[in-house]
Amino acid sequence: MTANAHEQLSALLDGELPEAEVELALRRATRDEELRATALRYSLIGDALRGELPPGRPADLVARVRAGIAAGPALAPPAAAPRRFARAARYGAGVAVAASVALVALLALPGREPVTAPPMLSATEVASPGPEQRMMLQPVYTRAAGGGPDRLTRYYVNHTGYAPPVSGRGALTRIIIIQPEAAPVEEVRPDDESEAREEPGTAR
Amino acid sequence: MKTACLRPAALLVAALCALPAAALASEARAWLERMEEAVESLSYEGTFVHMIGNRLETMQVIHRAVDGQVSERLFSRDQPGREVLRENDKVTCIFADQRTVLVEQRRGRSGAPLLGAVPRDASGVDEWYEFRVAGEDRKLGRSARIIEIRPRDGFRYGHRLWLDELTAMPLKVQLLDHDGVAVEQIQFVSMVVPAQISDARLQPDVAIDGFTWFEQEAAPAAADAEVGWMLLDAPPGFRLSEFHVRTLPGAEHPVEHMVYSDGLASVSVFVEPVDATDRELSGLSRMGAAHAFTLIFEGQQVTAVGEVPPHTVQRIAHALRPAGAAAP
Repeated sequence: MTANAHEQLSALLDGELPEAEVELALRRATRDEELRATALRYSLIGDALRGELPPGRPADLVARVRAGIAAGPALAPPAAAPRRFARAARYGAGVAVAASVALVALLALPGREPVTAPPMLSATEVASPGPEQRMMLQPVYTRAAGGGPDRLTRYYVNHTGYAPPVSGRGALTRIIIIQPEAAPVEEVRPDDESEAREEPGTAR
Repeated sequence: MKTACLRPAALLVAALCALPAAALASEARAWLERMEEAVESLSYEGTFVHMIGNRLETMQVIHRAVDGQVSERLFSRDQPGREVLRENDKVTCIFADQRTVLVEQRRGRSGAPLLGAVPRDASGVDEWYEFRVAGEDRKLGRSARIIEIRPRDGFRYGHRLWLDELTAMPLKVQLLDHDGVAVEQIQFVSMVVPAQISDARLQPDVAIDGFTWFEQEAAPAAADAEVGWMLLDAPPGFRLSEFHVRTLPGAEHPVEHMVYSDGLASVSVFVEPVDATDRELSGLSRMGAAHAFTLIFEGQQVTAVGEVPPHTVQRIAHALRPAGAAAP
């Protein structure tokens, strides 16, 4: 993994990667397990440096993150830009190493006026599809022999319709269910063991 | 006399102390309402990174709202074959690895968006959560407002949302445990509003020829069926909000399904006769940010499922008793 890949990943997670590079960065992250592990560290580092880590984080986390930054050049995106430096300055010594390239905003959301009907999205500009064009999915057959998802998976899937709607986690949970991991998704921490045994994804 | 003079002053002090908190809460609620409107009524394509525990996945959402017709597609960019499609109230899940498609019709919930919002009926929710505007930040190069929903006890998760200042679209969302530790995070790495979203963009990449389809049966006629169960010593705040008896897509028998909600979080309790092949289900399991706890009670298999801490589903499953049962 190159320093460039790390730098790109850092910018990606900060939403500061130029649009032209997003595709490549995502493909890399998709292919490269190590890069994805790094992405997690980056995210924690970013949260720590931006002061977003909630108070309940393990007390030594920020220290460990800082130590990690100090230890490895791979964790220290080399390039820096004024805005990131400004942010770094706010959060104190040792933080400048997290400065990354400040880049073009990817977001192209419309402005406040009007919120619900942005000018560029008026109904006349976005042709409404004809009924025959909408969602071409048609069932081939239902209730075939051979069974579908198991009972617990059915429960999970069905519950997602009632899951806390904030940010659509219900739908995300469906995605997770759709192709569950073969191994436990999360490690059981020692203090979790008393709660109950953890099972891996439930669909078989 | 002295007390009479003091009382208005005390009231004033109390009011001054109380007002900012109340104002913050209502401002936060207003932001969440704007978000709810935005995620449903705007058309957008976004890529986001979804993190749970030590797992990270890149996902894409495409949402088109035209003339009140909403089409939506959510899929994993890392693992092709994982797709959820929504056409207004109809939700289609593609299980490529199992060569299966599940189709559900959402009744009474006017098409909750895949990137959803707060429940409309949130009365009483303040008893269990504190809403506040927690500050400002920048995300994706945009100004963002940070909204926090903090649980008042350990039976439910909290939320922290970074909402775009102009549009109220969520740019980053965290699900937090009682200690404020993020158990799940969604962060957009790009979001665009195309002038037009073609039908092709809303079609699944998966070739679904020959897949087995399971469609949810029509709305159950058991709307006025008696709920045969109650919760005894349940976690505070969770009240029965829905009850159905129906056959879930892909299942052989009907199941009793109760939904208990505190106004924000909800826990489903499913009750059906024990199936010998499913005995190994007993205990706790986790799926994403959701937990499930299964136990056997008087020949019935009871499973509580919800995006709540593990001890909440466990306690709710244990709390289930036949209706009319007396306290021990």
